[in-house]
Amino acid sequence: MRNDGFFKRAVIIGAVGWMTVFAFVPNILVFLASFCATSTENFIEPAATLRNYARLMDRTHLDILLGSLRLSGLVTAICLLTAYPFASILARARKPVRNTLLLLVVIPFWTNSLVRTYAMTAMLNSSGIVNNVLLSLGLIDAPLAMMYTPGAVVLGLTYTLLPFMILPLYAALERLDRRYLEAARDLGASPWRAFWRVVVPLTMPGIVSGCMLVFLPAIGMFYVSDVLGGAKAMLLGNFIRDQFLTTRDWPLGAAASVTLTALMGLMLLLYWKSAARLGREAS
Amino acid sequence: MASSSCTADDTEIVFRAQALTKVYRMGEVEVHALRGIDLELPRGEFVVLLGPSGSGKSTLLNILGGLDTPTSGQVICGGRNLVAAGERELTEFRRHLVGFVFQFYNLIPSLTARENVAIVTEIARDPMPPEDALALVGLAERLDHFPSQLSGGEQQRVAIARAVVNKPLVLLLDEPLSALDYKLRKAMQIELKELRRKLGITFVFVTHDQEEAFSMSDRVIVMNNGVIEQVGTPVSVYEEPCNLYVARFVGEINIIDAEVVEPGDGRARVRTGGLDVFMRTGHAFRAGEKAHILLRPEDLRVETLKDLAEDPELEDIFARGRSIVGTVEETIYKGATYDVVVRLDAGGVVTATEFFNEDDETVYFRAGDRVAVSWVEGWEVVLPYEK
Repeated sequence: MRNDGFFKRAVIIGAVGWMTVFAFVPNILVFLASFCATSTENFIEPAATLRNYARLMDRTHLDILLGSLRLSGLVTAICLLTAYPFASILARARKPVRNTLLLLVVIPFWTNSLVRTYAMTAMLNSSGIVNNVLLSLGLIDAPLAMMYTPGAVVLGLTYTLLPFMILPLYAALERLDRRYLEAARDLGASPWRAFWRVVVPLTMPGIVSGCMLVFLPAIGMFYVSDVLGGAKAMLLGNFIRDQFLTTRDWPLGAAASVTLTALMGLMLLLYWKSAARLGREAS
Repeated sequence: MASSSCTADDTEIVFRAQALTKVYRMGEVEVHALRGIDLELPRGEFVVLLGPSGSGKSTLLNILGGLDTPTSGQVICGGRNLVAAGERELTEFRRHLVGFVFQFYNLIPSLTARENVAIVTEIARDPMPPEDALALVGLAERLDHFPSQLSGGEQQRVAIARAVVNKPLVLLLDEPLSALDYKLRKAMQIELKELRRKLGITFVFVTHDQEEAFSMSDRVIVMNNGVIEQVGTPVSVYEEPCNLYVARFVGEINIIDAEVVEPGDGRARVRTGGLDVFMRTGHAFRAGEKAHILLRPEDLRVETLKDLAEDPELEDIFARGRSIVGTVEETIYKGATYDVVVRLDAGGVVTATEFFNEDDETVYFRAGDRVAVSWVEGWEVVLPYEK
């Protein structure tokens, strides 16, 4: 028993220590840095200014932010529309089929996502597989320029993040009580109506968590934009990385980073609020 | 079929089913759930489909409600043929003309009682306000409670309110009270009867419980193995079962084998255990044909031979060639009554239900007593022999 208590305490201290050193402290440092001034010698200079946030609000930076949100939103929408039917099939499939399909969803995780993103260039570039197939079928005369376009970035992000949409949706749809659908049917609801009024509300927690799991990483996944989108900074993640590693404007990068975290926090808050409203079964 | 299967001409027929069959295919096996059902349900009746599980009663109900389609046959309701209707038309039908109540309430846990009912009114053509529907089932005070805050009976009432809020032509109830405890079930039976009277619509109620069926219905439809065995009022089904199956399924009954000695018009001379007796029967028998005599335990009268010998008046009643002699095998205490099991000298066992004497609370008969069993004249049923 004594040993148990010691072990328990050691594990908790270890975990808390780890989180403090590698997550909490760095985030605090970034937060503090966002209020500092730039300096040519030391990257940053202690100060207490909101100038960095003001700079973030200028035209070019705002465009990057909005463009990034738009792109991630698009990726989220595509993931949701593709994953929902797939997850429904998955939830209704017989066990062997279901396990096979789930395996197919999980297999990509076994390879590093950066490597997989590079693999996509082999599919998309002008002498890539897609172009070769289209050319040999005679559907196109000249190779399509697919690489280094926003479309390629959207494709890459969707490809990488789709499983994060499928899995929570599958969990929600699998839990869905079929009796509610029967009730909707015998109460005279059309299938379409039953879907919107019963299935969607009941799987809303899955939809929201899936969207969060796709939308938030999509904003930050700079390497996908790097590999498939070329030099253009399409995502907020690229912008932040550039501020720290290329432009060496740490305070601006920190401000962008804090803004991103605040955005995510705000969305989480909204989700919790709506989840509390949805799940307001009496205690 | 039974003569009591009345088809009232002056009342409007809500449902008309003709030659309905339903075959389920389970792999190699074909299951015949319905084997030719003909049915007419008048408006405003409380109809009970009574039968054991697997008799096809739920399948029939689902077909009447447009939730299932028959393999062959016709269902006409409200001037439309449900069998020919597409999915969209069936959805309309379910939305406006029928209401369903099942054993499971299927209330949405995140919505209040009122909201659960309102979910139907938003698509109905001319619904009553959800509050009125809930008031009808006695839940006017509990509009804003969530299902988890309501008891099982109250949840079922919400489901009933939800089923009638669109003012349907028919309410279809599939064993709706089976999940409730005995007392609550009794109370709900009475409430459902009242509700039907208030709404004036047809109720079709599926149950395997004969007592439930009799206490609620205007008309009982006894089903077995995919066919209708008998249609009639509770009294006629109980008093005049048209075959052995119905006789055995509704209540207790004694079945005595006999032989028709002399057929007649509306009656026949029947021989059993050396006893020759005229009995009332609607069946046309041939002489020498085997038959069953059916007697309800409560219609039997038992007296000891000793008492008969001492009481000339009693002996006179029993002596008109209408009593069978036997030995008491056992007595079974039932609370308000007790059963006397008598092994007849001529073979076979009958059970008679006796009331306690006003001034004597002890069971009068003892095992081994020699007794004579008689019955109220004219209350017997004589049916053709079945294997």
